[in-house]
Amino acid sequence: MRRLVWIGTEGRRLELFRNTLEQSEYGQSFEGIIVVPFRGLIRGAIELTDVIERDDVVRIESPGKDFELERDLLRLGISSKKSDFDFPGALSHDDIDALTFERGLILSQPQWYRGWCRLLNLIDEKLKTCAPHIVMNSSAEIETLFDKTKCLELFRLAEIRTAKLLGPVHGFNDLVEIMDRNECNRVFVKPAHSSSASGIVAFERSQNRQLASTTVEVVSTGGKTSIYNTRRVRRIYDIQEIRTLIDRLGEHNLFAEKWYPKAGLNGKTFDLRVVTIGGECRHVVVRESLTPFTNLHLLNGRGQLQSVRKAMGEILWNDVMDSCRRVAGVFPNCLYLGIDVLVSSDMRSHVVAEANAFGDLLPGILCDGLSTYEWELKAMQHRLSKAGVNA
Amino acid sequence: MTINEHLIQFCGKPVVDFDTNKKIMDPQGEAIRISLNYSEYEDDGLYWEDKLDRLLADPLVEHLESLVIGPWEDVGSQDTEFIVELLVKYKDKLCGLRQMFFGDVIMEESECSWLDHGDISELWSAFPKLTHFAIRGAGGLTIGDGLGQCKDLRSFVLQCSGLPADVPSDLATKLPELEHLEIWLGEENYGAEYTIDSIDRLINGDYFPKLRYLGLKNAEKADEIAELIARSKVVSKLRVLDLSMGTLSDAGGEALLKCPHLKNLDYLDLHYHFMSDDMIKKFLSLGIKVNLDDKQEGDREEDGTIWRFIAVSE
Repeated sequence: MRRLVWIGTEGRRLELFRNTLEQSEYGQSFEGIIVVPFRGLIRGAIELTDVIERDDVVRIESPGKDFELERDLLRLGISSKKSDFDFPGALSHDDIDALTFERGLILSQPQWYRGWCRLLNLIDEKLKTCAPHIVMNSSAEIETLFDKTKCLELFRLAEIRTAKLLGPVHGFNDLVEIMDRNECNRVFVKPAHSSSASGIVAFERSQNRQLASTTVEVVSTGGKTSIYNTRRVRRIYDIQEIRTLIDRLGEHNLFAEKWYPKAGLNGKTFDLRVVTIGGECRHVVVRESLTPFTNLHLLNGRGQLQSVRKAMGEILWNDVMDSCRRVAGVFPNCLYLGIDVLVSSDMRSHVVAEANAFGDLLPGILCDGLSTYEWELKAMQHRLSKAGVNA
Repeated sequence: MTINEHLIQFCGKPVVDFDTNKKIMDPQGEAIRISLNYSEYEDDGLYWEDKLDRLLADPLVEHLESLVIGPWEDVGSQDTEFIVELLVKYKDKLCGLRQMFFGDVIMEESECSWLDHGDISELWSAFPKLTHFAIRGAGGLTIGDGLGQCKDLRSFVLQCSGLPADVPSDLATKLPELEHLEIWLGEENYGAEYTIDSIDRLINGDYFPKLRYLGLKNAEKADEIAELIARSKVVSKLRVLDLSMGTLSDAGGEALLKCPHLKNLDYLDLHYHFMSDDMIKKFLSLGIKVNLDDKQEGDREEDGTIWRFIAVSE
């Protein structure tokens, strides 16, 4: 019997994972879950060396949507260097203390990312001094996976097809300049460290008009402008409103890529979420939308996989699977990944949009009768037996 | 709503993309689409013209009957006059063309209302044997006064979200074989500048003796169109009337029911509408096949204003 150490937060993911461990045959070799909350690690209340025992399996989880943890990460992200306070949107200790929870409010993502990296480094350092154990997804690779532009570069080096990266965007003037320089009139603008459709803008222009589609809402009150993630797609035509939106988002490590036109089937645009486990493609979900955003979790329907596969044809399908295996190869120390693939509008080609360290939360989606978590446990067993460790 | 997927069929034929390795296999049995995808443009440095060149080099190109024009480079910002010029230039090689779909472009490639075409009038003298012509998008569209040269034209379709002012009068020309006339009218915000009178003159001017299908779809002025239809003699010879995808409400429904010829139709398509259940019942009791699917409710504002949107706007 071995133990699973869950470094993360309490919540739905933990509950689902615990259920799998208790109910699935692939969880039978585990005697239970030890939960190590991120916040305990940050405050120094928990020492990983005290927790981890020989042959434990360690799972580092998503920071999720815990507001207190978000504040801790923002605090961790405060630089010791004074100059780093100068970037727009940076929050001081006092600012962070004064924060109250507001649904969807987007806070300094560069600062959050720095805090998240520091936490991951801390975990990494501590794990090095622990008893011999196995990590499902390594902290170093999770860190990379939270930097979308870096991932795109790694994909390109690995000859994996991606949309054309146009460069960083600090504000609307930047965006216009980049689009002019690249003779490009349709772009996706994304924050480098966010997940799903958070903070994304689909921007298009022609000679006499422009349109920004986004789930972000800009709210100005008393001279202060805040931006919020929502689940509703807005269409903004007014150029001043678009400028404000991009200028504000520009504070969050924004980058632009050329809009990759996605395929549609049965009247809806779709993309694919492919989960690789142990380097192999396992679960595939079709995500449908009537808007440019196929990655709005929950609200988008799950399309019919078989009809999509048939429409794509086996050659393209196999190409997509091959790309996903290559992405998994870029992250050899991640047992599982959630990879987003865009199929071209004429269904003759594809690109990898991004890979997610925690993209395996797909309750109810089965591959050969097993959920993502079951497959992970199975792959883990296989890995352990290959390594000659008693499961 | 938007158009989100490419044509799978055109004129009953499967649409096949003309890839690098593709040859024309069945010049009468399949429709060939010339389109430029992202990686062809970004990675391979190809242009739409290069794709056309490959088609023109095919030994069977003179027998090709059916051509679909898909996205070109910078679709949505560049109009299609260059495509018209190319097609006219190579009209002798494309002498077998009878069926043409111009602008198989979906929302992910360009908003429908942003699709610019410009002057396509040269097509009619270059391809006078066309039997089917369809076009998506109407930005800057000029059809000109030469369409009447296509004496064999059986079907004309214009899908757009804003019909320009000149199109109805340009279409008002003797087309002895025309059986299918489908025009999406759209709304003012997206460039609709036509008048009801111009539609009246078009459909009631005895230009199309064989007309069997009339579609006036996707109309913001659907109620006014319904009134026009009710007093139009053209309905008496139709088999199919299609007023779908617009903002048809009870007022338009009531007006339409006064049309004495409705009962002679084989099919009345009113799907995507804003009519009440009572009005729906009245149509169902007509005794003909009526499509009343996709009932819409409209967006009600706090002051009671109800906004009704057409099916394909942008």
